[in-house]
Amino acid sequence: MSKQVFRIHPAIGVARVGNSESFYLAPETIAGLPLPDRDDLVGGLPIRAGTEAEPITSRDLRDADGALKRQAARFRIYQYPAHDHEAYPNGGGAEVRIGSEIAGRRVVDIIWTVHLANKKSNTYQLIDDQGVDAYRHDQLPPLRNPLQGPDASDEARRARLVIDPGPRALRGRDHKVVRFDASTPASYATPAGEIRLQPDYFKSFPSDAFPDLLCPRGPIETLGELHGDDHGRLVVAGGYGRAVAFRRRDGQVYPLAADVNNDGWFDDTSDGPVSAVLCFDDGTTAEAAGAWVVVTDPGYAPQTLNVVSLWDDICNTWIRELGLQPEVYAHGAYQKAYRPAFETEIWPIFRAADLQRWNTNLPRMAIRAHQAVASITASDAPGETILAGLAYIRNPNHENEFNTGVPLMPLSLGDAGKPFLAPTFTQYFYLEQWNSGCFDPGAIRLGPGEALDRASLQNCLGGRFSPGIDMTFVVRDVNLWKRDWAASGEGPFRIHARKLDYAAARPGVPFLSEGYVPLRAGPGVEPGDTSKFMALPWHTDYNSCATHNTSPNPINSSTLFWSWPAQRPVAVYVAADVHDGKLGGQRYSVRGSGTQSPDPSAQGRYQERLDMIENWPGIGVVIQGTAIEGERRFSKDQFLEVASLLDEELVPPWPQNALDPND
Amino acid sequence: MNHSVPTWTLEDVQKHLQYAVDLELWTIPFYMAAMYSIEDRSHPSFQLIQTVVYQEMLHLQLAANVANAYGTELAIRPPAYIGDKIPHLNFRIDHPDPRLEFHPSSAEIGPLDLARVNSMCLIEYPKWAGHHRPELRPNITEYGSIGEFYRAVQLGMTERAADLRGRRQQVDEFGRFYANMDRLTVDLDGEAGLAQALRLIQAITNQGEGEMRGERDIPTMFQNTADDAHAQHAHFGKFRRVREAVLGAHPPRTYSGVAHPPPGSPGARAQEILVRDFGALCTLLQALFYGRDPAEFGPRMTKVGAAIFSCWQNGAIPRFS
Repeated sequence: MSKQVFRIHPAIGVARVGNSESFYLAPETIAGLPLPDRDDLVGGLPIRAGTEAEPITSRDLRDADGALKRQAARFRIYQYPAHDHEAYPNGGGAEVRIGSEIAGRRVVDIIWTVHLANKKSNTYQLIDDQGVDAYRHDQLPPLRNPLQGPDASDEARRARLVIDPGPRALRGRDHKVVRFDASTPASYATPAGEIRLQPDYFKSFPSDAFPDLLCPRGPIETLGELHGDDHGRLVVAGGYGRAVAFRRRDGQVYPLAADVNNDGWFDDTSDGPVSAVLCFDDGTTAEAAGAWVVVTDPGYAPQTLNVVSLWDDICNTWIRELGLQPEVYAHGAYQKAYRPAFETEIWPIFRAADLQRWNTNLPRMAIRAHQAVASITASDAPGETILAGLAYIRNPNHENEFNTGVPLMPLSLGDAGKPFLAPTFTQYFYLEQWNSGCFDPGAIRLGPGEALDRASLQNCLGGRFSPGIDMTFVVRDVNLWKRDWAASGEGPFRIHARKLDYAAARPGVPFLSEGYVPLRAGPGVEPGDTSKFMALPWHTDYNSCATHNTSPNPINSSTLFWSWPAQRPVAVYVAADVHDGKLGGQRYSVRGSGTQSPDPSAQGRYQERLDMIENWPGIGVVIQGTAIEGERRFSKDQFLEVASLLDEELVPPWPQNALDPND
Repeated sequence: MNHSVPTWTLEDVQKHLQYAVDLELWTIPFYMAAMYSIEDRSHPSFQLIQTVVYQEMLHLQLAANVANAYGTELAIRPPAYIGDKIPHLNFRIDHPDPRLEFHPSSAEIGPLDLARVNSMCLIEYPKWAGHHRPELRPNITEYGSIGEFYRAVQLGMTERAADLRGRRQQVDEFGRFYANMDRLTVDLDGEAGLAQALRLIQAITNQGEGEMRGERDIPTMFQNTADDAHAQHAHFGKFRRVREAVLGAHPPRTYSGVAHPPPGSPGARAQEILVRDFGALCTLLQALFYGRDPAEFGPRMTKVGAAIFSCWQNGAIPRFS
């Protein structure tokens, strides 16, 4: 009888805020990529709640009151034969549900524990042009909210600035909702499969420490809740997209003075560990390798694939620094014998380039060129294609090319002092192999759990962590990750979670510490430790990250480029503007009252940041034409905005230039 | 010299505008081949040539728009690159002879080297201020500079203004890159249209040779507002900077290649692809300037660049026909 190991998948699940009580489930297919069983749809659509895999349609985006639904993250457990040394991809794995038979034992329950927290207010400022480099050489960026104390580890400061409802446990066979609010007791599962309540756990919400908060869309009283399903899986739904502000000593509410770091503000995004204990009919139990849940911005374009996704960034780190695939990278070098899989490792880059047009105001000639890129197949000789010689791909190995715009692609903005974005080193290696004809035409065979890992992360933003939308530059830090993935049985892409002893919680004392600090080896990552590096509140950064000049901008160019074109739509085609199958002009995604500006560099966003805090649920969602329900039918080749509560004028095609401030 | 100035016929104007299209088209592969021979795509010389290439594409469009406004039946054919022959220009008759400064030169496709960059400078060489009135000569190759050539074209255009018709097969692929120009097409007829057409020719000459031998910024109206870090500089000035780099202590590293790689070799295959793609592009250009909207134009134009780059990477000098 072979020994089994158990792992939760996805290793990192992504939930998204919404202002509705209702939710759908995070997509388990990859944005924009073909589906094996559907001709009329591509991947990336979230899943209708309560179903196995039924994609949502336009009718599912909002509830009956017009509120934007949340996206919940669904977690499952997979079993694998134990190996002394794991290789990636495993290719196997079978889901474990309540009722599953495993080596003669039947699973009778699955006890889940999740701990969400928000530490944004207690952490360090994001230094936009430095990213993780701000933490090098034992340096730390300035703290957010310095008037609350100069030390992020200070107990009083943590008590005031960390939103921490504590852990929550859920018995998979129960159909209960367990909330991350103040009134629900903290609870956690023991390795023996018991749920323990922890009444001593010190919970903290903004209103506990700060009276008279400004609450534009209501107070922050919860970070979300847990649900189960009929199979004992876990569903984590996050917050409601709220942001609240406390007052300065003079009684005035802190202004929203910046895009990324706003003292005096909280939001209700969060993150934290997900663990599970399997209970068998013979009274034994087994722990599964833990996962992580991230609760972040809404997904306004779920089927638009990022050219550099979070998956690409994370894989790049794992391949180069954590030994994920020695056949790809070993001894400090890429292996020229490696043959990347066209469908999995190459074509998604081409496809992503083509999809950007639905969220940006690309001119016609560029759209057609991108279409030609996406039409490249595995049977085409690379030298005969539009990407022959990689003539138009920015080479990340050549530092100077980060400063070079057209014709090098992607023509979107970079991060950490790099004006333009480039593929990751690993992506570029795959492209080089393709260009030299050294590739295989098919796809990599992933196990079903591995496929969930990949889909979850490939649907998120990578490349431009300034700070980003889902996770940020910390994913490039090996200290974030569990390094013994191959021998431990836990598999790759697991966050190095700190072991938390909830039994040691004391009344009145904040349980969570300052937590993970980038580039430092430490006891591990705590709840709230990945989302804390994101913008505070997220709304202001999302609002501003439409188009910008490059940063740095040594030639003082006024030309505007896209920040996060796949995930922060700038210019969209509205479904209602399509007539006889022909697209109408483009409109800004963020539009309407309060967004107008004569300067193109300020258009497509609210001029007053507070307006975004109030109006974000009104932004529409870009989805495939065939996912739009109603009397009219739309093409599967069009990705159109639906369900917007905003309206305004058309957008001219790129290029656009900022106004000269001297004029 | 004491030539008489003939009266231009419409056919003369059309013939000269075809020459203009020929000349602008000729420059694009020549410049692109030199540009893609530079190994470092972020090198200032690469970037400078690239901005010129983009404007030559604009110039081709502008010349074609003016030609169509005069009812020219344009023919787009792959150019030839032989010896030091640049279509419709003969620097020998310019005064002083610019070849004394820009020597040696070659009009054959090749990597960025002194011969190539000298030819690039010669093509964009400015006319002398106060030069004699340009004349229509029986043999057009006797035009001493591109500036003189375009002055002759403008003279003919003016004489035949009555033959001008706006909105005839006008193309605008670049309008948003020149936000300070109100239009890149000819929309009006006769004298009114002539002002528009002359403005397009001025855009070509100002961006190309510039004024005062390229030493003064080109007018704001004609500057690229989108993607040119040196938008105020004319081609001649840009190419002089490239030439300085070529002659400097650290010239840009370039790929090397052979004109005739062994049959069946990757280089030969890359050349075949380029010949095919460029031929297809010429066909698409012809369609574009005949009022059609070939969807393949943008991708094919992009593909030609990739094919040139691929030739160099495979040790072959790019070949276009």
